[in-house]
Amino acid sequence: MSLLNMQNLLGRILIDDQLRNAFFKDPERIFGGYELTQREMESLRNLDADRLNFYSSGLKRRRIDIALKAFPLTKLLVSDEIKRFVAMYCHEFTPTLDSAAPALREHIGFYQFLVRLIADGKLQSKYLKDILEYEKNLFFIGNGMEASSDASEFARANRILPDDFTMDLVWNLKPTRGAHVEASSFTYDVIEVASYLRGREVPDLSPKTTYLLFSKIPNELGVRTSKINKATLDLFSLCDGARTTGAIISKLAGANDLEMERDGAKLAGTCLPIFRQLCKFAVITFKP
Amino acid sequence: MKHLAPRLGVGLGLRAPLYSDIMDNKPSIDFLEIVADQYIYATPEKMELLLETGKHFPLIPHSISLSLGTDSPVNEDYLQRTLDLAERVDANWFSDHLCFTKTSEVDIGQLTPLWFTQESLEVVCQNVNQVKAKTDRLFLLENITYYFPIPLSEMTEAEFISRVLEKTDCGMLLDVNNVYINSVNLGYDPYEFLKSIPLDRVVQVHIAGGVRVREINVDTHGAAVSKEVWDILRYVVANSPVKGILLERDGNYPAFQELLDELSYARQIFNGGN
Repeated sequence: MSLLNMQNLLGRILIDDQLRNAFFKDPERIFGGYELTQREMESLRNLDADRLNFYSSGLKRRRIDIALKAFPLTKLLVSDEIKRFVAMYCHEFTPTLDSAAPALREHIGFYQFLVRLIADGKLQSKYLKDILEYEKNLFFIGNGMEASSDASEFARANRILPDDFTMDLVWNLKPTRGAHVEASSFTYDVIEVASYLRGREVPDLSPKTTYLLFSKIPNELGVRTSKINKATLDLFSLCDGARTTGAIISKLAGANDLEMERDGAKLAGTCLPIFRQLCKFAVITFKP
Repeated sequence: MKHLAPRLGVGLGLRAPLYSDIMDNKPSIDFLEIVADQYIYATPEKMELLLETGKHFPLIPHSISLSLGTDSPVNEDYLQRTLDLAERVDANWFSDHLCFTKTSEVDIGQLTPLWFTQESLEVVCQNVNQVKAKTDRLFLLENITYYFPIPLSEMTEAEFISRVLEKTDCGMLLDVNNVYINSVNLGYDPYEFLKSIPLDRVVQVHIAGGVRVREINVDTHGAAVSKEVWDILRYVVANSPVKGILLERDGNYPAFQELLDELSYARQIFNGGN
């Protein structure tokens, strides 16, 4: 048990800058929280502070490197600025043992941290918010177990639907999206920004509202990214598994100042190819 | 050791940015080492791609988080996933490090040196035996780079490694770059170190390059293999039954031909040339 106590203290000293400084200032005060033998205390007292600081800096850099592996384009935008926030991130997002997949924990934590820095205006690039959202969708949809499972399940379920299904067939069914799909809106044409970023140089672009639908390709590596219009985004957003197709058409009619009795059939006709397309790529499925 | 490992040759660490180059140069690469942690939580599609890759190369899982030196049992879930991966890729052997990466309170996330004491020795042996009790597959232990020793050790690192290997009957994954870096940073003769460990247990070797930062050599896997490391490799190959030499490259990727040239040079040494 005592060796574990020593390892616990050493582990904390390595990842916690404040504790490390306090330890090298007054080790006896820190020892108070741990049951250690005299020999263990003597060993820890004799640790080389410079070497430990060096190692600890490396740990922090490594955490950021791991975190940014999920966001390679974001990394290009923040690589210089982020250095100022490394210590803050490592302090606020202590690596705990509760995660089965530590790298995934780092990706999620760092994403949340960047979102907050952007909201607080602490990072400067005007493209950052879009690029981070774009890469977040690509990474978590592309690598999530639930996304993978849903994509396969939706593709399987849709096989029983004919490609040219009618509105009557699905009118009382509930269009449902899974963890393998995300729709996002962007201030800039994020596809264009990403393309420029891969070439390492982004010109000064004007805002151009863009809607993208991200969907895991069933049973394959990779995420399909499709530009969609606002109408498709609105329709997709209503496919929550709670509303029937009929209720969605009715809701869209209301939102567009149309009357169901007069305009419902025409609106349904407009929406049908969108539903078919979403089904074809296993973005949605219809559930009873 | 009761295991007879096959002679695999000269291999490369499988990394996503190198994937297409690796597939385009199959004849120049004898085997691939995979970071187990990148696959034990992977989607079925990623696993499928790995198994497809495994049709072209022997795959060797190398894990980083068994944390064999932590004074508590190895995480059963992580261990089982690692063993399942080794089973799925039909690995000739698998490996992890002589170190600890987590405690009962925190995940340090990096290979952290052990206190070379009798108590630590018993902990490591107990954990290694926990691994070995669940598999008949050959398990290798790797020496790490470390930048600070833990004072008041009761034995040298070489003695510690030797005793662990003998008590657990494990093979060794000898990282010659780690030997070189430690010898510089901690001030010892790398060849004396090598003479003090059971080289007859070496099954696999790692080679890599590092950089010098603030008067400390750092094991980055992001530079060409140095002359000193090639020299140590030559010595190890001449004095141990090495079955595989693995080039680790984790960043600052050069033109792939440079890695192929390093593999070719390693193969020359592996085959007894200079």
